[in-house]
Amino acid sequence: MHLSRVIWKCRKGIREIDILLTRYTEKVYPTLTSQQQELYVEFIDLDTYEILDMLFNKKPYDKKYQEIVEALKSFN
Amino acid sequence: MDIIKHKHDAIVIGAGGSGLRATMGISQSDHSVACISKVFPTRSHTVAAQGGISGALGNMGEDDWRWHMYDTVKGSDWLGDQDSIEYMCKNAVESIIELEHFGVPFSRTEEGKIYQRPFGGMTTEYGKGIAQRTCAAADRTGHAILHTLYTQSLKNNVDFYIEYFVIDLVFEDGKCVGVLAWCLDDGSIHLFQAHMVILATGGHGRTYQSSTSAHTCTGDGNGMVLRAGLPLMDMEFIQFHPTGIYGAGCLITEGARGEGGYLTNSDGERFMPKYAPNAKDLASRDVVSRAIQMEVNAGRGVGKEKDHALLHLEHLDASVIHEKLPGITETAKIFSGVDATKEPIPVIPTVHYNMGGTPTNHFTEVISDGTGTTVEGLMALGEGACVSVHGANRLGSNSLLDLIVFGKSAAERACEILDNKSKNHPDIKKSTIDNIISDFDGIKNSSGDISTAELREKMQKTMQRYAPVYRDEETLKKGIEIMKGLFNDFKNVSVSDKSLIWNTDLVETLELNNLLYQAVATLYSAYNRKESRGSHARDDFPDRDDKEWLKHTMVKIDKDGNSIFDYKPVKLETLTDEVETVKLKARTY
Repeated sequence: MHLSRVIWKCRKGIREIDILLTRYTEKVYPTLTSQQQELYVEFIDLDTYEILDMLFNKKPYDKKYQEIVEALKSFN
Repeated sequence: MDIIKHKHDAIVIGAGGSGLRATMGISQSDHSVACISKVFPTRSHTVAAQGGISGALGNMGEDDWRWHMYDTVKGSDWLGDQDSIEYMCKNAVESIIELEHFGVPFSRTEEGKIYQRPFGGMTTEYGKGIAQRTCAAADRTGHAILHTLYTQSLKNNVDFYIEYFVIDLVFEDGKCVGVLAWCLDDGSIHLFQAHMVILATGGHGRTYQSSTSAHTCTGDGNGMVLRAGLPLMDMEFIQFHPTGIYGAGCLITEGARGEGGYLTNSDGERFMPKYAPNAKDLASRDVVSRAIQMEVNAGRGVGKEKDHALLHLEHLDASVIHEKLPGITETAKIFSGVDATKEPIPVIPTVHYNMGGTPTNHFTEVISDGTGTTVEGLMALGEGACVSVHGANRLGSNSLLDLIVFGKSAAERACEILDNKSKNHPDIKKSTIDNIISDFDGIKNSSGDISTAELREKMQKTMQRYAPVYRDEETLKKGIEIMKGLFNDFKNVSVSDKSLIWNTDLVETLELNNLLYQAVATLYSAYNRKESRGSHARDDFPDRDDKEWLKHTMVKIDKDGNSIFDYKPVKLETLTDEVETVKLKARTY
């Protein structure tokens, strides 16, 4: 998916998530393999609070997102 | 350029809480309705509202909507219009029960009633007791309301146009007759004609460097209103929270200071005892915000730009932090890269809510002057509007209520007006559309020497520095000077991407144009109001001045960024004789 299309999808309605996803997408998304990109887009399309809960370890989640979640948490 | 035409009885711009409630209401009538939103509805900023929604249901003890009204008027520092406040508080109960029937999963008491919690400023018997008035769906009330309203809207015949950016309102002979919009996905341009255009485009928190607003909060409707030559109202009233994470805006709860956290400046000095010798770091929000600002102004801010303070938790036991302040270490780590158990967190006063916006009467019809003349074909509601129920300061949990009550009444009013209107859409002159397209093309093709991101950052830093929590003439004057320059620098902006398909650079440029209009409007209004009232605190005019300033500011902004002022008296009379006017007195808690 085109980078700017993905950047628009980073608007999730909550400031913290918007900032984190946008920064990460701008820097890292273009460097991902197409398979990783597909999974990443699936991830950012999840409900805003599902993403928030994963980032804050609030409940267990699908292991397939683990790499993305860890990367986001350590991204600065 | 080909323009795709659509005709509807009503169109709603924005799909947050208020927009969806209005859309849903109209969809239950015979009138056709479309809802246009730049983001998918469930990505609207309403999703972030955690606290809850207030209403005198009386589930936890005696309550009365009149007490709720009293609290709201007092919270507004008497700037709120008492007819609108009566309407909101009286209709709160019914509106909340309706939400429950639509499927909002409110938290419950053991007997199965909607649970209600206490909230700042909410009292019983006109300030005597503490009210439990706020209904919540766990800590995700906004999320629950937004999802429920979206699902409800899908049940009826609503045409959703999602990921469409509205460029401008279309006026013919002083009447609003539709909007021009750009489809972000395929680059097509659309003319939506309607007998009623309802703006529900939200607040403009992103005029500031530090705000809790999501990226989408650029107050687009207010930008359009100003460009149409109409005024905005009470733009000087902005609610701040003292401790947002520097550079991110997410809040560090006041509980952090409650558990022993304290603030320091660039000298490593604990500065709160200077400003609040007794309460120290536990002083109220405004005192803490002001203290941080004073330290920054005195050159004792921390960081490269010496513009913020440090919040220390590292002296506390890590287990206390984890147990009493869950989530804080993660928040600090992710958003400031700091391990809060070892290092201090950078913080700054942060914009949280905009009381001002597009002026309306209590039917949510947009008004164009201080006498309340309505603008045919245009309504506004939600954080982007100023009806005005929040006046000079909003009480927590009254904002979700505002969305729902006025969303419902906007739909009813729109239907009433539509019932009595011809169904024929007027012809729109080619030149009307050409003018909007020409401005749009002008922005798209601009290739000046300043990027959108750069200009936006300058605007945000200027607002943070020159229109802060505590203001004075000198600072505001300087702010106006700088901001007028930035407003006119917009002509020199550069849009690198010239396509119309997923051109986020162009969207952000159009949003910046809207933000710049609102930023100048805010600065002028703050400079102009020579008193302190609610959230507007002037160091040079520390008192409320009811003789001179018991009135709403209305400001228009011309193409060069100059202001034109008008005033509207505060409506002290209530709507009906079911309640008496809350009489003016000092606002002390």
